[in-house]
Amino acid sequence: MSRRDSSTSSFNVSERRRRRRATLLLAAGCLSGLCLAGPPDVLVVAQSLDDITSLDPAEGYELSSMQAFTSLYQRLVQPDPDHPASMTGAGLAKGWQAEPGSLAFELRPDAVFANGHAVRPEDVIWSLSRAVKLNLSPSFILNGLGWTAATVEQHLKKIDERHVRVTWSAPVGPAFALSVLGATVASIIDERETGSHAESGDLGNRWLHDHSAGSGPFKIRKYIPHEALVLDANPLSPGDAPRLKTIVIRSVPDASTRELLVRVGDADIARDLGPDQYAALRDRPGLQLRQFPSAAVHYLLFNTANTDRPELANPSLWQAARWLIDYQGIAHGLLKDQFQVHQSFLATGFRGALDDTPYRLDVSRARSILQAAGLDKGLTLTLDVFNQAPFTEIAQSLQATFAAAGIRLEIRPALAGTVYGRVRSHSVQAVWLYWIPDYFDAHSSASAFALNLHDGSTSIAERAGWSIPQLSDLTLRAVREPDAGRRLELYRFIQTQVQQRSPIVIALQERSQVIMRANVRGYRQGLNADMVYYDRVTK
Amino acid sequence: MNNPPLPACSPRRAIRRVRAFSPSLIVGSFLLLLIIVPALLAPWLTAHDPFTQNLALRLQAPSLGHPCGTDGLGRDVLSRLLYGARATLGLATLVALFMVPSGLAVGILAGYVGGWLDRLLTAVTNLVMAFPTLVLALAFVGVLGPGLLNCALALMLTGWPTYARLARAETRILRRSEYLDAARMQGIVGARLLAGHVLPACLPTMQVRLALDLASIILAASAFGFLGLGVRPPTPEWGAMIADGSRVLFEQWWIAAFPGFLIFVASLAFNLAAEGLRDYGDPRDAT
Amino acid sequence: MNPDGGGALRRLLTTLVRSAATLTATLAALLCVTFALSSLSPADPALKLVGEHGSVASYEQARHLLGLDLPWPQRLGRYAEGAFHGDLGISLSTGAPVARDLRRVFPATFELATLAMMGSAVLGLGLALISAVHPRGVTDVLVRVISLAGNSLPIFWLGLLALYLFYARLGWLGGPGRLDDAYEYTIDMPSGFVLLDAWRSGVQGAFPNAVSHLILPVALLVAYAVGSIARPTRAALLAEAGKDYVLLARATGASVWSVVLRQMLPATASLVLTLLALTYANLLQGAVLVETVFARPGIGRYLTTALFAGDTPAILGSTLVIGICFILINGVTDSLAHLLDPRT
Repeated sequence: MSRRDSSTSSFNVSERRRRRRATLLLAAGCLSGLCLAGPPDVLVVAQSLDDITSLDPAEGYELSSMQAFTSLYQRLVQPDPDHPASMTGAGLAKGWQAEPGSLAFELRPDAVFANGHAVRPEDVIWSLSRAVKLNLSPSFILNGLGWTAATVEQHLKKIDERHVRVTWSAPVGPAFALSVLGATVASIIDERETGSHAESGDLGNRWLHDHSAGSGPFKIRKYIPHEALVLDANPLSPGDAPRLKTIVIRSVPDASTRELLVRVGDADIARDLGPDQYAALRDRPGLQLRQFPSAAVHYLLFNTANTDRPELANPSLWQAARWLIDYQGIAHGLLKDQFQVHQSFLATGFRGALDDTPYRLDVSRARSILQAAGLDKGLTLTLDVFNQAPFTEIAQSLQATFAAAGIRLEIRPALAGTVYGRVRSHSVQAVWLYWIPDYFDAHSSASAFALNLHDGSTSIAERAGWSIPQLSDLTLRAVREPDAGRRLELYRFIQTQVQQRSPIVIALQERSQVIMRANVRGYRQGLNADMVYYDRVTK
Repeated sequence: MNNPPLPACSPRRAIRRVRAFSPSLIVGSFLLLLIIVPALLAPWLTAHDPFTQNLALRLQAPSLGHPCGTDGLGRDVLSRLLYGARATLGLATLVALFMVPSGLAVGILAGYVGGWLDRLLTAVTNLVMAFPTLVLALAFVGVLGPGLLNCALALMLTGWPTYARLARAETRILRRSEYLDAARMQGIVGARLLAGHVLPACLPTMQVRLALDLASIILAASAFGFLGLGVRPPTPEWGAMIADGSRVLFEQWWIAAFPGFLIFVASLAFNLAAEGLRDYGDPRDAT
Repeated sequence: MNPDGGGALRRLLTTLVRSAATLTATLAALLCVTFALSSLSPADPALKLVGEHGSVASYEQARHLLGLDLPWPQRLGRYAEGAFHGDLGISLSTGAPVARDLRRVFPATFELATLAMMGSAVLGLGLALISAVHPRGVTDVLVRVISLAGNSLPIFWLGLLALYLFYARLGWLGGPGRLDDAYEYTIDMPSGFVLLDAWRSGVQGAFPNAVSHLILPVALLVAYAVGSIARPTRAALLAEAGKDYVLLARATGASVWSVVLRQMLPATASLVLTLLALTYANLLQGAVLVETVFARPGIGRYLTTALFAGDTPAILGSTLVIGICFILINGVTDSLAHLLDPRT
């Protein structure tokens, strides 16, 4: 039976099912008294929600929770969905005045929360200061402005009913501050509503675990942990009101099950499928594959401070490794275009990203480098990876290519927590990790890859044991630099240094792929995978 | 064909005659050999190396060059099946070797001696059995890291209570039976009684259970792989291959289908052989 | 007339007290060991709370907040005290009280496991009986292969294939989840048992929908468990078949079925009960793969997620619930077996 036949027949089944679902939804809606108004107004998304621990913007720091924040809350400034590198999206601020060390924001006059309360400067002050005071996972982003739990309130001042001034003590420029205030941790929450649900000084943290009090295009109707997140449209949202009435995000843990759901039509969007699944689904009638650039970069890190393997401290090993990764094979062959080759820490799409890819698989070159350095006597290294796809596949590919040059890699797959623990305690030899910028500024990545302050603070460079006093200085200068053009030049230079001289081999940049039904229109996704926009979606 | 009515005067001979042609044992042993021999001879039977990757040829359907196709990294599935038999069967054997004797020992002791020893052993058995296998397995794997040995450890430690319970149930039935009375009258007591009479009587149920469990052990390894805790790559192992293949199940069915089929055959083999042996081995029928 | 009535009552009471003591002791031991094991888990909940970039000070503070800086006997004591009052702590991976989470997930697994248990008991015993009546025939071979199939194939693989065939291609049965989306988020589930709640909700079509979503998972679990009931029972029945009393009964003209049902089966009753107990216990915690593939809530999935996240309160709570179930099942089975066959 030809492939087309089978796919057409399954399409017919899904049509029957959709019609049946329409009747059911209508019936259910009428009988239960809720206005579900039929399937064209309900978007069903199949993904895994197992990573969510909290839906409080000051606490949630996982992919799924941050995706939700984009729909539930607004910040003073936000990345523009259509031009992700720019910070002039529809935020709560109508405009601002920048001065060294201070930003004065004017709030939109029509800004109103989902419950009808107006957005006031008090809400801004309360939201930002509580995020710092609660001191949970994402608050370090705000600490980058020099804010601490004790001092944050001094930096947030109400000017009048519609103006608020934000100051900071860290030596950074206003552009950086804007990026920080555009992160999800800086979401503006309704103080009055949340405050009324606060318990024993938790600033509403417990209540916000499964409720929302924001001004975003959607609000939480129901959240069942690890099962489903149901969002209702917020017609009062500043900016455009969403076109859909309801979004149901179903937590479906297995990728093959997600595939079936979207094939049949019981889900409109399916995320986090394997590369082969996407390749198989892209040409099916009734479905469309959308690809979005993503800012996640994958890299191989050598722990040069590992005393068991002093060879790790030899820069020739790092150089050789650069020629021992099958970049093209992994990106286009193994992982079927879920990745692109990118060899710098600023992802393509960021302003100032270095798009040169000077390295490719060249075993003989690697061998001669190793020989010249006396490292060709047979070296065995352990390679730690997460125990899931695609990491185990990438690790096996590396194993094969490194073996061709006489380096034996022993793969140690482990749970993410274990791997991070080992990295933190400097007990790894080689490890494959990925990096997602925390906020929309080059400093987020630069401070990870090119900053090692040797003062107890952690960064990727520190984890690699890479001592770079001059480069660190340069990175700190770059974040202060007021001139935009000069700043870009500095970051280009920093990237080149990391690309060519570090024990960190940056290899791949993710491409986010999403499969959806052909009738879904208006879906937008930004450079960071948490930038998911449902407000313009129609079916 | 039903059991023919047995002449009252020579039951033993008649029964022996029927059993001599146990088809189960023959078929079971044949299937077992079919699986074990190629596993042992794997290096000489495979044209490809099970570890050689070829990303250009990944996920190829079965063909002349690769009779079972290639997997996600372009490795030959047939070679990985043959080499994988070693890991899989080795794992199953290892676990069984520990599980059954310890379970039997605990169960027989508890069932025969009774009293406080019985209560203590039963409490321990129940305690271990009350443990979700997952907790133990994941705890092990979390501490020691994923791998064949750690999976085996986890399965061993959670598998023996089943045998203990079954052995205890059998022993208690047996305790006051005429079969044991007869032996006791002949002066056989204590350890000799337990080892020589009680133990063989428990074996049939154990065998059947073990035969089923061997397949479960292999599948448990596969489940660990599904949850991300299986053998370390690139080691070939049937269970891990099924877990990997489940991700491309609908398009590249062969990657999960071949190892799945082999596990089914192995399970069939174990079960048939066990039943065949049981036909020979049940001493109670000899009275 | 029972002259020993008073003695029997005393014996019953002693048994009850002893059972309660055993139950408590086992649970306590279970808790201790689980506590020790989960503290070996690699995930660090304090680190998760403050994040990678948290300062050392805030990390220490988080540890203090979670009580992780206390020695483990003290932590266990605090936990046990709370558990006694019904407070099982707050889950670190869902943010909700563990008791509330368990109230939500346990009934789902219980429903699934019980239905599968009933199905596999009926089917398993039936197959074994058929085998006993027609030993060594074609029927026997068929029975053996059938009972083998579900146990020898990976259940998640079968699940995905079944979903593909019956849900995606044929459209006969409901897909993942317990209900279609139309009902799932509009029906209240006060009891946690989807069949019960769907029936009581009065929403038209909800109950058939719930059934349709249950058929595949239950069928898979039955396929998985039927072998472990059918085969040992068959073996035991066949062992009984060689015994004198059977030959005598057959020789005196009793029909095969009557001999099998009235004499052979009761003789193996205690074994059968043990098997049923083992299977039930296995199903309760082994349904995790089915729950994962079919995206159903359940205690297996809850426990697995908790284990991966190092969520000690959730791990302890789930282990406690599963442990209680196991112990209860075993206790009931033992008593029943004793009643049915006083030799045991």
